[in-house]
Amino acid sequence: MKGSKYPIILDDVVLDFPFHNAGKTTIQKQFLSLFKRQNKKWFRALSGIDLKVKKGSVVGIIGDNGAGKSTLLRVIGGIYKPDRGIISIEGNVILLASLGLGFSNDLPGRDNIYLTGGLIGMTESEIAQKENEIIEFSGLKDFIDAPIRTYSSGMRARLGFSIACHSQPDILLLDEVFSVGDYEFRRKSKQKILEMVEGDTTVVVVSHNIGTLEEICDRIVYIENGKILMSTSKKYAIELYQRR
Amino acid sequence: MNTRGQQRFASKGNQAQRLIKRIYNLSKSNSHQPEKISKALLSLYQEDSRISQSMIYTIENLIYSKQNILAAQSLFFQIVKLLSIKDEDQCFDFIYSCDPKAINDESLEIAFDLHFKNEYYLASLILLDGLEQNNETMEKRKLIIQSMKGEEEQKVDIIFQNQASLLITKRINAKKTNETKPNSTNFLSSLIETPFVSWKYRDQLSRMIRRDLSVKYQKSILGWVWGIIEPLALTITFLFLFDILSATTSEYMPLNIMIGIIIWSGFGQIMLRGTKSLESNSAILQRVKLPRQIFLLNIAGTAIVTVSLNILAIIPLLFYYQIVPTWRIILFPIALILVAIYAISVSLFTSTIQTKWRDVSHFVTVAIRIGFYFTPVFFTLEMLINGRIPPEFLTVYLILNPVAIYLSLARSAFTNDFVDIGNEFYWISVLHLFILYCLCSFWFSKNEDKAVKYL
Repeated sequence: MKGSKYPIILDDVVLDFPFHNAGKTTIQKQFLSLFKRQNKKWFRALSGIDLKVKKGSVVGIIGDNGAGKSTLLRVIGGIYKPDRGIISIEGNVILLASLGLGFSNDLPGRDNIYLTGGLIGMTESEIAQKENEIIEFSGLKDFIDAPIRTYSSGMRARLGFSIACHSQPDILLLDEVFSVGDYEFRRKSKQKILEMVEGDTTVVVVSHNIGTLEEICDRIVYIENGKILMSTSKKYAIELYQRR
Repeated sequence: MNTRGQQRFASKGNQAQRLIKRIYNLSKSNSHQPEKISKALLSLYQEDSRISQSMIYTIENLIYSKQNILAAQSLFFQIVKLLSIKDEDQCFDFIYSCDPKAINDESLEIAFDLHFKNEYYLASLILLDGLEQNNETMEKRKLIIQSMKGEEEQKVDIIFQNQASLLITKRINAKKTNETKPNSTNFLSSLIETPFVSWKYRDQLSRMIRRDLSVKYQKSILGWVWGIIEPLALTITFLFLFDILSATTSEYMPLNIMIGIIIWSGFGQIMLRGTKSLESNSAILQRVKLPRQIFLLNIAGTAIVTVSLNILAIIPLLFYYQIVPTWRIILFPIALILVAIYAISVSLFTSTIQTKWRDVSHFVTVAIRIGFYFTPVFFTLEMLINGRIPPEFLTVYLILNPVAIYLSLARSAFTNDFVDIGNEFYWISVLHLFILYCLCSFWFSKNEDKAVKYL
């Protein structure tokens, strides 16, 4: 596992989504659609994505809203299985989206560390060992025993990021994580990411904040309508993105 | 390709749909009729000018479900020819979005011409490389280089360059490698999946179950006592009912009713919450890669623990009847597990449909309500046997409702008398459960990926 150069390889990955036309569907339409199969509508969220990410590199993904950035991250994270194409991921992956890792709202933060830590693949003893470190990094010392539902979105993101980092993933996927944290936390987490990259963690970041991407990324992938328009050095891609 | 992709036509209106179907049928038939296809394409374009999406799906169907690449290539050529005249932007979009296997040399030439016409010189050079090299291409290359020199400022076509080079490499790769099929779900492996998940994630499951139990009665004063109050109240109610209706009652009636109600409430919980297990955990499912059964197993585990705690409420009744538990008490956990497996199996099926149609949970609610009266929960199986039901119906009933048998099994753990229905029915009920479990597990592993997309 440690030997291979590209932990993330996507080859011609295609993903279709059903149309969510909630509210528009009536019983009559639903009933008729049982007989007319071609009434089913699909749209192509990702069409023919080819991507290779080097070990220990930071790749940023930019693109307009709805271009397929988050979907791509979820495919890499193994949440959606592609309809076609080959995907090979090596090592354990953690996907961190803007609102934490899917916490249990009624439980205090400390229990959530154990719960989510377990779900993303840490053992009990591992968590116990790193518990203080996680709390320290998240900066939530005074609130760690309060239920998660009382947390602000920034606090959730901080806790989520802290858990994700300390589980030592091989691949870390970040989806708009920096947009909610405050300045101090952003600085700290950027530093942490660079630290992790030193230790051969591969990072993929989705963000609209071009400044952040410029700071931490090695390479930028520009996505539009579910296609990779280009994947080049960061300066070129950002220039193009801003010009369009 | 997968079977569900067979009829994926995104389209507008019935006329357009009919035309798409016609084009598809014309293309897949062996008799080659390009004139008819181009005519149908033209009328489709007049009906709905955004034809690229639906045509991409049609071409993919030809390639992957019909394995007819030649037909796909000729259809592709027709579409590109039409679009290059009518709508150039859409034509570019179509060329780069469609499956590269469908692009043959003829279509590539059109694509090249289109790029050249729009002064995307570098991209057209790349496309030219994909064509077979002969005198004609050499001349074209000279022409491009001449026109490039002629301009002071070149048009920025970096995106088209990128796309064109991707297209050419994909096309070359497609020629080299054979199609790798997406791994289809294996029937046998789908059977062991759920037990495997519950073993592999046992630590996490136990933690989740503990969380559920502690959260459940977090802010209530009576707490755990509520678990006992419900079956107690219902038992008393039904005893009254039996008294008023003066129906036949057996010796251990309160005990029997209580066991029935406690197990049934666990069963109902697994069914109801299990059906919603994917829907209500969408936040986690969209963020963390987890086996999707884990939430269902969590619910089932919580229900089993709750039932085993609540069943302690019958201890006073055991003292009252002076029942001394024998080895038969082991029948109770067996029956409980069988009931739980039944509920898990059904939930595996319903939870995947629930993500698309939220009606399923309402249906399950009604079904459980009705099932409560059709299953010996507040009466016993003996009453059914000794009742006015003809024996043929009873046989059908026992085959169709294994839960009834499990409930009487759970009762006989304490009351020490087996219901005389014949041994074969016990085996039939287990067989029923096994078949149900197999079918539902297979359904789940086949449809879970699709179900998650509807979240």
